[in-house]
Amino acid sequence: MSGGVDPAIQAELVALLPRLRRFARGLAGVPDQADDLVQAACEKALSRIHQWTPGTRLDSWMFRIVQTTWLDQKRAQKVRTGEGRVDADSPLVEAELSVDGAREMESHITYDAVRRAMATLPDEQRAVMMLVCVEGQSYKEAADTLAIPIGTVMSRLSRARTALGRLVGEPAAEAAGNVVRFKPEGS
Amino acid sequence: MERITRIDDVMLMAYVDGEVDAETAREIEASIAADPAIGRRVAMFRQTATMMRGAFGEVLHEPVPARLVQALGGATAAPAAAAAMLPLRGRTERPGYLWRNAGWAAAAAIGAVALLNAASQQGIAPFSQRAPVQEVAAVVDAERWIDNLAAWYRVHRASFEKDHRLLVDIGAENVEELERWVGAKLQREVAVPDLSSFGYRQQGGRLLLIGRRPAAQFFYAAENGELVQLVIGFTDQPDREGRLDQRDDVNVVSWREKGYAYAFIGRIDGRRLWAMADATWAKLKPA
Repeated sequence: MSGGVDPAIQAELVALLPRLRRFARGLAGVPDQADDLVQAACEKALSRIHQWTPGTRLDSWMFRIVQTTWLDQKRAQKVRTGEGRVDADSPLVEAELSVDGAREMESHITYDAVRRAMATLPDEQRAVMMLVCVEGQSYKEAADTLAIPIGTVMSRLSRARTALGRLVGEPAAEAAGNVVRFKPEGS
Repeated sequence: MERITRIDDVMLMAYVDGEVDAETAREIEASIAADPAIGRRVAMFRQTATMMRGAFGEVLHEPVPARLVQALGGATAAPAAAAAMLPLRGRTERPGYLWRNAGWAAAAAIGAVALLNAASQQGIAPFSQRAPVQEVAAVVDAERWIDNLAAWYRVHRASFEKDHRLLVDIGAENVEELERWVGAKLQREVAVPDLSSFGYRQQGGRLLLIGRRPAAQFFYAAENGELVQLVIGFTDQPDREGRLDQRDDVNVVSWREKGYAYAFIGRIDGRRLWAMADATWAKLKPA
């Protein structure tokens, strides 16, 4: 399968694996499912390595393949968002966050809570969150990676960050009461 | 004259992400200065990015499953992430510890070596007596509680910076009461360590729940407002030597001993935090 692949590119792909796994974890949430996704994406990448243009970013090309593979898989398998997760039975993140006190906040603001909150976001928002906030891509790079307009990157990112912002007690826009219930945007 | 007619969330976010031009940035900064609500939105956008990096950062340090390497035709290639782990040393009393840098793979490894060398040159000798190297895989259980400790620390630090006060159950003026109360909850004697020789004053403490069990959290502050926390909680995990973890700009020195987990958390230099742990761990041991 990888017969004709340049060993240098192959090595570069292997070196990318930790970041691909991280990106996939952001999309799929569940570690095993994320690794399955990376594996499928790697196999797909090798089979079409000739489509990658030398001199362009290999990481962005791979992120794109992971993203499209994820969407393909979801379409094909009708994987319901959240299915198979630890908290599969709870339709929403059960994070009722008090916004008026560190004591209440701190019990919720954990990285677990962030990951759970991510899992409730629409797929397309998760992808831009991972690329911009975690991978550090610019809006333009993320737009190129996902083949979407830059304005779309910005609006998705803003919606996702606002949703996550509730974890730190910042209300969406309107004045918050004592409790903000975390809900996914859209979907 | 005003170029910006409306500052919306997208614009504030773009400012945080460094995606606006200098003139727009200046106008937004003026708005932040004029309106605390805008400042809070900016802080939120900044925090969400930090939270995201923290929440997904540890994936980089997990060993890469062999099947993924094989999927790329690299049957014998080493997992790239392992390079970020630096298993090391120990000393007579505590036979091994890991100095781990949470940064990028190879660069982090090199950085950690440099840091370690610097550390050993600066008088952290007891930790430089080397013992058997541990297997990387054995220490990859980068416990999630380190993430959580760092996250809590940030919350406290932010509120301390903002309000100049800490949310404590019992203040430093009643240390004995604090020790009795915390000791009862932790089912052991607890003596709140004195860090005044490091320039840190006790600020009191409080209880929190970690894994549904009580844990004590003690606060220390320096003259310059820097905050250090000590957390003591129960653990079912086996004893583990001291280890320095980094979560963004927060350092965590943690260890486990006789059913208790301990951690010093601070935004100060890891070597200094380590020195605090070194100076207090023996006294923190349960009787």
